[in-house]
Amino acid sequence: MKDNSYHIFRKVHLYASLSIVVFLLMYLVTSYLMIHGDWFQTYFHEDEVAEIMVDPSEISKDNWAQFMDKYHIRGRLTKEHISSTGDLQREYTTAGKNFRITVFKDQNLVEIKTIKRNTAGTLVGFHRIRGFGGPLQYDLYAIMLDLVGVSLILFAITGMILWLKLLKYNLAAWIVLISGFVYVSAIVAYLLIV
Amino acid sequence: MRKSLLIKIHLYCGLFTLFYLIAFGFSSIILNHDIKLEKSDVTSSWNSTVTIDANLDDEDLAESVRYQLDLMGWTPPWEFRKDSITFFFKITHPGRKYHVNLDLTTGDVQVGEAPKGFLAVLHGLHFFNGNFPNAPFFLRTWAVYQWLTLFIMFISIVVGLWLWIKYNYHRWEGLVFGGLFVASMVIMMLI
Repeated sequence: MKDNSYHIFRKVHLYASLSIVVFLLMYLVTSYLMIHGDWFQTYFHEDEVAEIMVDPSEISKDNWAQFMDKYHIRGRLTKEHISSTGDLQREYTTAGKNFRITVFKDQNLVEIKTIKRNTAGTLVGFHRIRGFGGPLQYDLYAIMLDLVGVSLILFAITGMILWLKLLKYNLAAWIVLISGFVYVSAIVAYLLIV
Repeated sequence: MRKSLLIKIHLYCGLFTLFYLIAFGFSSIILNHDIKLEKSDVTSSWNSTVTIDANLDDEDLAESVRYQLDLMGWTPPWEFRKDSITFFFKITHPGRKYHVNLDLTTGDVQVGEAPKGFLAVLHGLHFFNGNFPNAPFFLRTWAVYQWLTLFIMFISIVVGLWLWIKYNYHRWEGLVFGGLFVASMVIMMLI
């Protein structure tokens, strides 16, 4: 008779996987797209550049949100720096687009470069988006990504525990497990040493 | 198909992808929180001499030196620093960074080695496709493992879902996780 812990681990294993099915499927598809980026032209994008004359107050810290709304800039702030010429550069990222904004120093001029990815690139964009900060949906997405990370680890560990409880004398399963471990360890060791 | 056979397929697939999943789970959290794991201290250095072809541009020269030193990794051009006497560049792969100082007049090279550390390597597997310059055949096999893992993970998910729906389905689980599925899709649509 199986002990009670078997049922608990089985539930944890099941729920950890069910909670992230969408993300697992998305990662499977997008990883394949990334591995074969050349086949699917995931790096293909169309660029649009607009130069806008603005009033300095329009791009002040207080009015930045309105400025973004006005020019349909969306996404999460992923890069911000001052260039060697003193221009402020900001980049906002969504799954399908990047918005690179340059506020030229001492000029009332802003350049907005919109980089639009194709369908494959947009799918890969879901894979790449990460981190907290920005509009609410990006924080929710980041929470989901943490959940994915924790669930993947839980899912794997509880899976191994279930196997040990169910079929620990199965030689073929041991061979699969040990060969996977030896292979990954050998790759890691090689990268560490050489 | 018999239930025991499906469980075995799910189990073997799961065991095959186990370490990959753990590494990716760990790496996903690190990426999401932008945690820097990479060490950058040079822990050892050594000297060598190479022949310099004056006709090569910077990128080709860096690659030629890497080849002569029998090192593996990328030579990122944005790390190049060159004057009339010295050429400094880096060679990097998921486990190590080499700081290469080449004397352009004599061909003498000083190489500083900066190991990135175990956690950085584990994290680096996320981006590693087995393919970087001078990588030996053994490392290139990672691409096959990666592809197989994706395929096997897919089978594992499908079989696992089938086992759940066929033998262990509870309505409340369907509602809760179905709801989470839809919510996840909606969040994805919004970003």
